[in-house]
Amino acid sequence: MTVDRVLKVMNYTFRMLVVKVNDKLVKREDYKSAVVPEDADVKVIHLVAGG
Amino acid sequence: MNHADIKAKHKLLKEYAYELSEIEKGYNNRTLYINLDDNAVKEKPVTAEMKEKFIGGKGFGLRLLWDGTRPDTRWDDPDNEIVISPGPIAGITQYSGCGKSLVVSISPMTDLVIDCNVGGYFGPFMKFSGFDALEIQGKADKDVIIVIDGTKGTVRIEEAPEEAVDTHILGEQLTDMYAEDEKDKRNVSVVSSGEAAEHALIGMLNFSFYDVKRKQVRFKQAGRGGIGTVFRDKRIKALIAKIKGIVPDLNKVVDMPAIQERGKNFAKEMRELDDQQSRMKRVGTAHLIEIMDDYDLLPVHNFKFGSHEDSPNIDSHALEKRFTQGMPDGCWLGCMMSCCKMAEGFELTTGPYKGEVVSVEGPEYETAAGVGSNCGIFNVDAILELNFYCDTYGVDTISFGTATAFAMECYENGIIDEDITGGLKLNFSNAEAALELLHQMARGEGFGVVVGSGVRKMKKKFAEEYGADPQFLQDIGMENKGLEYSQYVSKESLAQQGGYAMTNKGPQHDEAWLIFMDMVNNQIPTFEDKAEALHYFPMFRTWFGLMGLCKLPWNDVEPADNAEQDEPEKVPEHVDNYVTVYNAVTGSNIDKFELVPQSERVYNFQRIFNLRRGYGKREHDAQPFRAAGPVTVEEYESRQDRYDQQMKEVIGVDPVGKSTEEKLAITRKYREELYEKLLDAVYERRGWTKDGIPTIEHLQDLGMDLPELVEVVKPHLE
Repeated sequence: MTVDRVLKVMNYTFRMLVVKVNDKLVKREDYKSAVVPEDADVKVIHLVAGG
Repeated sequence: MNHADIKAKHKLLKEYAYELSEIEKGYNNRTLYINLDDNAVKEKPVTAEMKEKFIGGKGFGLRLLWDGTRPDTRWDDPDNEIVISPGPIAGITQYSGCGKSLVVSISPMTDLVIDCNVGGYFGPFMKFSGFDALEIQGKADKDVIIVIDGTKGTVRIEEAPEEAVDTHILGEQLTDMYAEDEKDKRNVSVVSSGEAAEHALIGMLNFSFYDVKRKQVRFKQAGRGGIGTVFRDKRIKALIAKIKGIVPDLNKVVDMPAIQERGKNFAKEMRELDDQQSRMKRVGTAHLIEIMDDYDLLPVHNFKFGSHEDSPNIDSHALEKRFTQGMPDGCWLGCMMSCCKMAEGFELTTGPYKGEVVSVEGPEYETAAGVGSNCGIFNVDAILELNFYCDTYGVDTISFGTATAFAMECYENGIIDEDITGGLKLNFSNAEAALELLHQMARGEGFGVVVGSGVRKMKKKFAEEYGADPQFLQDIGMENKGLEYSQYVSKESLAQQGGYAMTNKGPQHDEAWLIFMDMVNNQIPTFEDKAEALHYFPMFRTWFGLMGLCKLPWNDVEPADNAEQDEPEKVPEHVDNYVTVYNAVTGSNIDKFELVPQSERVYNFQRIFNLRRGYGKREHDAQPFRAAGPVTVEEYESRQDRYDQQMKEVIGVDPVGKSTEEKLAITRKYREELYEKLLDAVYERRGWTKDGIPTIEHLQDLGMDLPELVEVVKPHLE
């Protein structure tokens, strides 16, 4: 599953995200190609815009 | 009557001549005081202590308001003041979002100090005319305007009997009247309210700016807390500030190249990144509508729910079709975020201006959510019409939305009926009825006036006069300290509950917006983490109000490499921009660690201001239960999986076999206890007692152990 697919499954539609897979930053332009390994630790930080 | 005839009916009550002088490193070093009881006008010096401890903007406003009022001054006493102050950075054009002013007064809704951060040109123009703050006290006998003429060095108080009161007419009248010609209109700014502010407590102020390309007068709002109501109670029809024109460096800054460099970097971010990020230039804050709906945070039906299947009808994609694109939509010059969108060519279908084709300022997210989804209204035309009339009548869209949503839920529960509402069927989604409430507010009649008194007064009235269950009303009445909640569902974010109910003025999200950090990212899992966030972010976010800055450029666009920084949620490069700009304007030499103490001094002053007035304690930081969790069976069962899972995994109680009523009670007890623990943790972090009182030691640490503050807190510490 790619990062892009993970975000779609989680319905994370916010645009300003920080995505780290196993503590390694994944840049936005790589979301569609970066594959998430099985059992990986995935962090999707929503930056606090809004409000 | 043409404008010349209208102006001919003015009667001059007072003309005050002052010496024009240059600003020095962001400060005029004087403020202007006007008393409408006797038309006294005088200048007051800005002291070194004011600049050191209060900085400007809200800081100056609070200092002047404290000195000018008594602890028991009511909002409609002549002694109440309206103070407008921009701040040392306000008025520069080389960095984005630098034209804001803070307005303070004693609120008709809360009886506390209210503060509003507002755009438009009046604040900078007043500053360029010669004053770091405008302080108005007293009441006029008849409607007056106050004209600050920075071209001549005069302040005039004039009776103005013939002008309109509603902003969309009044703004055009006065801009035309006080500009030398068409080109000069860009140098005039008007502050006004509207007819509804004469009959409702939720009145607000409009601050104008002239749109040169569209050749129209436009408005930003000082919305919260009823300052428009105070304005009209003082019989002020308008304030006008007029300058010769904008030239580079009216602030006489210390290091212009430093500001320009940071401004260019920011402009580049907006050009290259905004479209992929928040789309502020295309849709403004409305970009949040679909996001909040996706995350179950969009208020629907008086904050009962966080999403609705019809929200695509009113989201940013729907609104984008109505916003004119490619226009310079900044509310101050030089702002590259340019996020004030406008829906032009809109024909009004109701009210005294029915049939007129107008331009609607917005809607911003708060308006679309407040008068839209929160009232069950998922129709763009209805939202535009409600937005327009709130603006011209001088009504806060946030309070109107939340108050109307409350009335609608009461109606649907049979607490009020058509006999009480005068025939208005106040079901959710009835836009026609919502509009009629507004028109009634403007006319000063009917149930609209009841809604215009706000949620707190409606709760009291419905319980005392209609026999409603006061506990139910307390649970669903979304107000804290007497001010209506702004438009985010805080149920699943304990941190945001604190961010709303622990505010100084009432639940406005300018202090903290922690929902994603808390609920989505789980970045602040412990009470100590939440307390740290509820210390840093309110202090940082209110720093903007001391300076004359807009918060949006801080984090509604982010540098391309922001994700790679430590603490990306703070947007460190932009924080560094602000430190640089502040030092470059004022000649100071602070670092980023000084921002929070600068703000914390004023924040604690405001807390003690409230204490002085008989508030400002733990009991006043209580929240309605709907801000914390489900009140009704309907709410619980709409999100049953979530709540049952939390009950099992977090509370440690098996939901199986329990009725929804039982589960509601268990959830409620747990969440109420959590909030009390949060209060304890946050107060400790802020240097306050368990009752929320700033300690003398903490005030000493901040350098705010002023005798008048110690005198107020001491009895509460014994």
